[in-house]
Amino acid sequence: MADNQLTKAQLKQLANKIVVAQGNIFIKELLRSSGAKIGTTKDDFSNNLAAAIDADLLSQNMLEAWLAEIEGWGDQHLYLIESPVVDAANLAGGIAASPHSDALNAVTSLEFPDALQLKQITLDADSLSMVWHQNKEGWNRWRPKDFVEEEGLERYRFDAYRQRFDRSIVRYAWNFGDPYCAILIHRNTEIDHGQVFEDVRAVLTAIGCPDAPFSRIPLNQAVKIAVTKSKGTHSARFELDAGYVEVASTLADGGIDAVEPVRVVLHNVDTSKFDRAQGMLHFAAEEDGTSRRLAVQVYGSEARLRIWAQCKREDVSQILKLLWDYDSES
Amino acid sequence: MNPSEAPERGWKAEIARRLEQGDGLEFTLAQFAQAVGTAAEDEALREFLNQAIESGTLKKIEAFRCPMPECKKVLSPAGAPYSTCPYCLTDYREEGVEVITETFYQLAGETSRDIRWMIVVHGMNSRAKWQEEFSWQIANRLRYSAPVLIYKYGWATIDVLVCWLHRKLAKRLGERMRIAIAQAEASRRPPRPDIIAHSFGTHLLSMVLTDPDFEDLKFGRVITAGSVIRPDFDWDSLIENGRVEAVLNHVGGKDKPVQIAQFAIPGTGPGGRVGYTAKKTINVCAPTFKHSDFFLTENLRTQIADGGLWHNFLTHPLEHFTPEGRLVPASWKRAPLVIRSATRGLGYALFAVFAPFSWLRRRLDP
Repeated sequence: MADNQLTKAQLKQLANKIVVAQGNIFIKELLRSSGAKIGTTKDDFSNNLAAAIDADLLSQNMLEAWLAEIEGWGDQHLYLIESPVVDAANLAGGIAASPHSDALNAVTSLEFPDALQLKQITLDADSLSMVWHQNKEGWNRWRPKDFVEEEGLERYRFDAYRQRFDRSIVRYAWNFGDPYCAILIHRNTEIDHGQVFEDVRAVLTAIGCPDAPFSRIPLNQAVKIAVTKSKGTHSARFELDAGYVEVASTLADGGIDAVEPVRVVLHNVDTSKFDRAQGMLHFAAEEDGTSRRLAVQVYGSEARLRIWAQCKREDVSQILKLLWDYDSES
Repeated sequence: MNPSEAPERGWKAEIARRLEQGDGLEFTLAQFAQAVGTAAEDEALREFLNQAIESGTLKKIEAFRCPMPECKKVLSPAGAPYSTCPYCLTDYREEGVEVITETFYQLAGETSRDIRWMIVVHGMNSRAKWQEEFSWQIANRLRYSAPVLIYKYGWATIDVLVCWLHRKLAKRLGERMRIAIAQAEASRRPPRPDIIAHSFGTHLLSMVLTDPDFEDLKFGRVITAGSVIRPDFDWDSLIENGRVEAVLNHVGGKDKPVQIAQFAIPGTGPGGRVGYTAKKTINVCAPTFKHSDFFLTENLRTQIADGGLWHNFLTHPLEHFTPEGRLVPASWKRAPLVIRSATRGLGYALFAVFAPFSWLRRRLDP
């Protein structure tokens, strides 16, 4: 995107589109994060965004980063599940006949309703992707508003929290060529993952997939192989019911491989004796083909990843491919 | 010497030590200051590290640290920006705190490597008790499991005088290596064993390396001692093609048998005295060593102890591996054909005479 530099006038046009389509609370977050004046009305937001662009407080990169966050890739949870047993060729018909037909190929929505809502279905010859939006509340500690009050002989302390709204995205992604699907869930801790699974399942059933619970694909083997093959393993924990072994690097960049005394401990661990494995893996651009170095926590027995960094769609695909390859090794 | 240069010499020595050992390549200012006995606030140290960054010796990493007192864990830039701690799971926004930015320094060098498993190949006319001693020493020396495959091909005597027996022995060695590599991989060990070979065992190793049937076999670091491999053996191609990671040729300054090897054993040469001429090999001379002195118990212990030549070669990054006694071999030419033909002829004659006895002995005492 850096190659396609917008002029300030074009940036302002883009900002206006955001003001029209986006909820006020999120524009406030954008203005606040850029250090610009905020305002209270849509007109205020539009003027203040323009002023922030003129004052170089808000750059194209910042706007794009903000929009990329809306897209919902990275800094999230990801569950790896088995693909539905359905002929992909029948999905178009299933979607058209379902109550969700209007979401097919809908333009990217910037609305985030209070309840999880399907906003977009994308179907092509190779993949099915579905996107849900939800506005989730969070609370930021806000010390300037703290106060202490005395009532009679008692003294009370009030700790202030400022309401925050997270633009939460849930995504279901299925590349027909892959033997797995992914459900990606925003990091907000208020999101009930079980409920998300039910909502995704309901939509899949409505568009013609069999109504069956999701079958998760454990990634224990992927972690076990990654610690022996990848230089980017920062921590690994191998568990069974009666105990566990945990090894970790506390370096900023180097993994277990860079810490000899820890590395040799790992040589003595027979990982095949452990039922469950989890680990913090780093995927490097040069070695793993990701766009940047990315930290991913893999919870093997839960079939869950916690991707820590913001990243691109291609990064997620690449990480899943690498993990799948690891997981397929005996 | 300027008094201000004294601490800097110590800092440089510490950097050199870390690069040489491939250990402690990443550190904070405070950690490095503690290691060199200087205060972290020392501006001269900070300036020294900044200069190291400018020279490319060091890389600066802007990382983070969890601000929660009960956590304080280092957070890699690979996961930034952090709204939650991956370890203590504190939501920083809810706590009204921010991650602490912390600078790390990373030396531009390779990390150390481990001895994961080895194959040791003995020489001729020997029961090679050193192999058992080596296996025992290495098992005691390392605090982790590193299997040693002791390859024995029997008590070879006059067998070394004829080529076709070399080929037979080398085929057996290659096949055994292939089986061992497959077994190691099944046990999640690296597919490349490190090798230690002595005397005639070095010749068998060189035959395996040049045999097209064994092109699939790849090796880690190779140590040859008392080598009878020809000094002009093409190690460089093997290293460039990834067949061998690196070669250390331990030369004995008083090794006489290797000097006469080419006159008696077809295809051999005095690599263990002259050194290898291949540029990528490392020749180190022990001036007082005779042909089998490398494997005397006390010498063996010294080689594989911390700081020992073999241990350093097998575990340290090669870029900064600068052992004492490094030998730069002069150019080498084979002995005149006439002389070699004569001595070989004598060797074949000896073989013809003694082969039945040798065969009988091998049947009774392999």
